[in-house]
Amino acid sequence: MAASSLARVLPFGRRDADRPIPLPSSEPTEVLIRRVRSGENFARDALMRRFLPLLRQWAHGRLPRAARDLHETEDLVQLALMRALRQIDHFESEGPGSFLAYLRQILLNQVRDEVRRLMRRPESTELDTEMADSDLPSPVEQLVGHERLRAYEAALASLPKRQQGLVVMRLEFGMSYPEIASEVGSSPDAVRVMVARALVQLAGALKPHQA
Amino acid sequence: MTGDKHDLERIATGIADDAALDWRLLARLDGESADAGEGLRELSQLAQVFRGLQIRPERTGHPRVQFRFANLDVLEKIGEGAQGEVWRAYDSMLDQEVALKLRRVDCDALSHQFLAEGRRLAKLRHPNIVSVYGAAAEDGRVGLWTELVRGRSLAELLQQDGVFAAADVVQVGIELCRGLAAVHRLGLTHGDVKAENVLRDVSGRIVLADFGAAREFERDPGFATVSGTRQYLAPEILAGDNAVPASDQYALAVLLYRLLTGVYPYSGEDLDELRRQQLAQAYKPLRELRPYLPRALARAIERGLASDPNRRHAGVLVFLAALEASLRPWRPQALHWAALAATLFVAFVAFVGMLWRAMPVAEFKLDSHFYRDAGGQRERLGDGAPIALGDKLRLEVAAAQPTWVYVFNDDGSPEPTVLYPLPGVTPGNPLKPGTRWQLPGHDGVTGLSWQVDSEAERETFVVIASSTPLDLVETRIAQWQRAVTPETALVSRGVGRLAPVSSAASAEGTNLAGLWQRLGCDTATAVLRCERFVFPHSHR
Repeated sequence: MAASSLARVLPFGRRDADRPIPLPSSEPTEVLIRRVRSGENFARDALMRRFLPLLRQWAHGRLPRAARDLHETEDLVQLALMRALRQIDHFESEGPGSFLAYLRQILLNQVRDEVRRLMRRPESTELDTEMADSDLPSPVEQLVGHERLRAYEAALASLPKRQQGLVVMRLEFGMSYPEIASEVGSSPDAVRVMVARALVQLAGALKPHQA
Repeated sequence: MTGDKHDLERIATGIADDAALDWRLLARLDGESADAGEGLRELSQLAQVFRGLQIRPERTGHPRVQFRFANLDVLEKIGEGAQGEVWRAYDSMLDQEVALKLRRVDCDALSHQFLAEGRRLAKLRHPNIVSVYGAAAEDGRVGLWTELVRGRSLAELLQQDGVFAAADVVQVGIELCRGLAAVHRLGLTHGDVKAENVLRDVSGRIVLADFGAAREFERDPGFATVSGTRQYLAPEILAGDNAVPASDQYALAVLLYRLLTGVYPYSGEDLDELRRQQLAQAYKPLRELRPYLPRALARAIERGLASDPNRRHAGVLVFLAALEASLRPWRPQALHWAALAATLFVAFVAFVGMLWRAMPVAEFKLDSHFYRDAGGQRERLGDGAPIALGDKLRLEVAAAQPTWVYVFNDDGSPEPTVLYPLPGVTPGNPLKPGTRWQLPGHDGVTGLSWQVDSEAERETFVVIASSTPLDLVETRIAQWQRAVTPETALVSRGVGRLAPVSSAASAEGTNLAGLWQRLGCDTATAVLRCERFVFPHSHR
């Protein structure tokens, strides 16, 4: 049962809106978190299965090429997820969806540590292209530029966790409205409105890109 | 307001849905909503990048790799022109498809120059400029690869949908000014702004593409290779000078003129005729071709078309300010002050301080004077010095203690223009002692000056300096400065003679006068200095 539900989440890409909602284990994340806290290993595995593919995909764009080429993404993501679950007592839910924002933050920190580690490693210097300024830019950084990414992160961090979760799920993880709806326990239509409002909020917090 | 909120949510829903950004809706927003709208525009672009990373290219679905160039899998030719070929390619480092522009070169120096410029451009990330990811030379070819923009060029849009609405033209102009400003700050010029090179992508973003390469190569073989775009060439280029930022501004003005009317300002059949027309400035005024065009918009664009680069806007950011102001009828003064002669501030304190009741006391030491840059020379402007169109003005200030300086221009509108301090421009307050500050200052890359670029009856400048921050003034600035950005602030107005006021008559707006009174400028204390200057304009 676990294997089949896993297979349904793995192909991660542009999703059809009408595709059936594929999250493994029908139990809401909130419930699973409670169960992990009370020591149920099944719940831990279910959460891993639920979020690993999403986070792996996400990390792919956030890690510098040096790390991705070393096939470390998988380890890194798994490690971050395990760490997050181990420290789950520190997680204070601010509503459905906030867990994913929390995971993303932990993974982001892990990615930063990884980048620092790679930069200290002497053999990585040759991987640094001559285009790069000094550090190891991730694809996202290369595509939008460091400053813009930083401004986005800062604006995102200023939103309530619940809204952060909505934005991240839709824009960064590319989840469909039905998927988000099942994650936050709502309807796809309501999610669409909530995401739009979160985006307006985020836009207000985002300093206009200075010419 | 609620209408705006509704609009914002509609735009946001479009972003969330991955639909095309409704940029006409965006252009309608005003005030705070306009800021949020800018944020949404940025989010829409970020969302596209995020999505691009989510969609793993189906490698099996790709056309066969034709050849490789500098670690790129080159897939298919998507364009060909006099200046080379454009290919779609896959960059495995970025896991993205890119556009690769290839040219043959047979000269080492040229390819060297090309690579150097490519590297500089690769540092530039601006939403309105196509992102350059890399440049390389291989097998006698040079290549520059950039983001692959999915959209249509303005030339195509013009051909398919006809002339643009005024609001759309303003939006295009504003975005291109922003992009060009970023290019100019790098010490580069684009050199080939034209409708064919400006794309509107599926999110509605305006992207200036195709640069660097074109410019470096065109210089070499003369005008033969740029014959298709001669209508965009500025008079100084036809005269044989190198392209300067003002030449890009000219080309942009030609582009906007064309978007509005469907024709070029000058249609000369050959370069000689074109040059004659340019020098005579014999284009049809925009309002003859489109009578209902806002006057301010026509003026802003026509200024960019001036034959003399000095008579164009002082920079693309000034152009931007004029464009922004042109569609805001409820701020009729906007364009006026946008052309504002910045100058003044504590200027002449040393000379005219004695004319004022607010005599500086010994411990509050401040030295400042006003000068202009003319032909590479720095000329101090004394009392009564005439100022002319095109003059670039600066102010030098030195203080013996940390000093908070506030400068305003009162052009008769209810809200005076804040000239200093300016957001994004250094030095900010307080000015540190021990240094001679050149104001308006520095935007992080370029030293700024104010250029006299229009005429008015007179100008009134108010300068307030204090050894402590003045909360009251800061609060007012926050109110008045709403519309002032570094972009709109780098502008100047004023032609005439510089003269300290000697009459008590005040033409200041009530707010500024009120501030003057509340600060107690007329009975200024030892730590406060207030100055006011009136410059009558002479009409020639």
